[in-house]
Amino acid sequence: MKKDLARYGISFTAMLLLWWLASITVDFVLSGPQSSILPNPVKAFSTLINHWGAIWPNFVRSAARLVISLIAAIFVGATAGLIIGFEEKISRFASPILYLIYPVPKIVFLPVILILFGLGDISRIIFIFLVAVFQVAISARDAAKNISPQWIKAVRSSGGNKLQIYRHVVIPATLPSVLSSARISIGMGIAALYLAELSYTNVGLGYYINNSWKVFAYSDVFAGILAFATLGLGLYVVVEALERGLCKWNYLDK
Amino acid sequence: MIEISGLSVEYESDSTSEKVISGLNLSLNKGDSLGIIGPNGCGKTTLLHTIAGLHENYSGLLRVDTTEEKIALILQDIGLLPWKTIWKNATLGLDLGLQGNRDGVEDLLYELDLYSYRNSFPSQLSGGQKRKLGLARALAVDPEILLMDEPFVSLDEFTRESLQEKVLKLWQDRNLTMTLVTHDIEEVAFLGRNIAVLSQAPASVKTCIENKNMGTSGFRRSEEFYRVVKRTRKELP
Repeated sequence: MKKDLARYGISFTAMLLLWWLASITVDFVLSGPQSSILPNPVKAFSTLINHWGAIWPNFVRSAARLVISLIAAIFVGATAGLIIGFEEKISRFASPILYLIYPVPKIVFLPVILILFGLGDISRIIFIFLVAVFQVAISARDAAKNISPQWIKAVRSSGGNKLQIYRHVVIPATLPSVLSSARISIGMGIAALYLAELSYTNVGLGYYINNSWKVFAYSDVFAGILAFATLGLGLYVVVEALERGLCKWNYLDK
Repeated sequence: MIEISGLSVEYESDSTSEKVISGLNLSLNKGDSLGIIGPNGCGKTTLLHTIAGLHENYSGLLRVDTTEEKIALILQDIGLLPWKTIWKNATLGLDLGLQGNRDGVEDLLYELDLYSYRNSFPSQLSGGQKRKLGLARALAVDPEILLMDEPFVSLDEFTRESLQEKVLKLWQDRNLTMTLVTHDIEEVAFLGRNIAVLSQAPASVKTCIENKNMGTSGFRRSEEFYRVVKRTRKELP
């Protein structure tokens, strides 16, 4: 644990140093108001702290949009993926559909979603949900396909029925993969959240960053980016804690 | 009692079908033990799984004088669930609704030297301990019939013999009807009061050898034991 913290500390310091160096370089190369386009870390962090009162409502709204979307995506994606992966007959029909839709950039659906569900939060949540759900579904499907037949035989030969096979084998066996895909979905979800908050809203970190760009408040832009990073980091920590708590067998000292 | 007459099993895929067992006859009395031995891929595991009720696609007569809940099967690779603790693996059958006594499982884990590991996970056990856990899980549901598929494969000689002794004792103490599939001639001679030598696939019984002194004290070092080993080896195809 101490080693982990030390490693994180070194990485964080290295990142700040590189950021600082980039900021000095940009300041040196560009002139006029553009020279402050990349503020140094101290400026960005102090803006984050000083403007926290203004950033906080945007942070809360963005966090709510993201968390609701991701929980729905993990629940729906994992359930669908497990069934598609485990039930051969369903897989034959559903897998091609999954592969057909998965590579399509979901941004193309945004106008349709906005028309169907309006300009409010529901549309944004549906959009982020769509971006994340296929990732989770495909990971869960692949994990369910690779379940050892011996585990299923063990439950069946002890009198287990289909539901009990799901409860005692399919769900626990695929949980590590589902949580891994949840972690990937956080990054994808934040990217989608930013896009979804660029227009038709006046609250959210995406709006805050975009609005700060328009008024050349570069320190606020980076304060918003740091707030996004904090949100992502918080969610990663939660997923990691869930993984350690629910998948103890994967974290044993062998 | 287990009675099998004219049993045939076929595996069917989309376009082909393969006969794995053909016209097999066997019978085993209550409380008796049967060792099944035969060449690789001859259908031994399929036979055991069919008796356990895992294959419904068979023809012929298969009569097992007990309910399905009273048949316990130890799989070739044991099939321990890595996410469950030793205790939860041992009580799997009970958690799935089968009859049994949790205090009895505790005693069983003590008897098999696994009790101190009850909160550990299978990956923390040695090969021999995993095999013991498979045995504990099978016996936790108080079975009348115990089916074992290569129960001590890939263990060192010392551990294998000590586990064979344990199984023999449990069989004698619990009045189990026991069927064991193995590649090991000495194992089949030590644990099988009846030895069925199977033919090449599709499997049928080539010879049945009676081994009535099995289970008597000092049997492993007796002349009779070596006679049975020699005869079994001779009968193998």
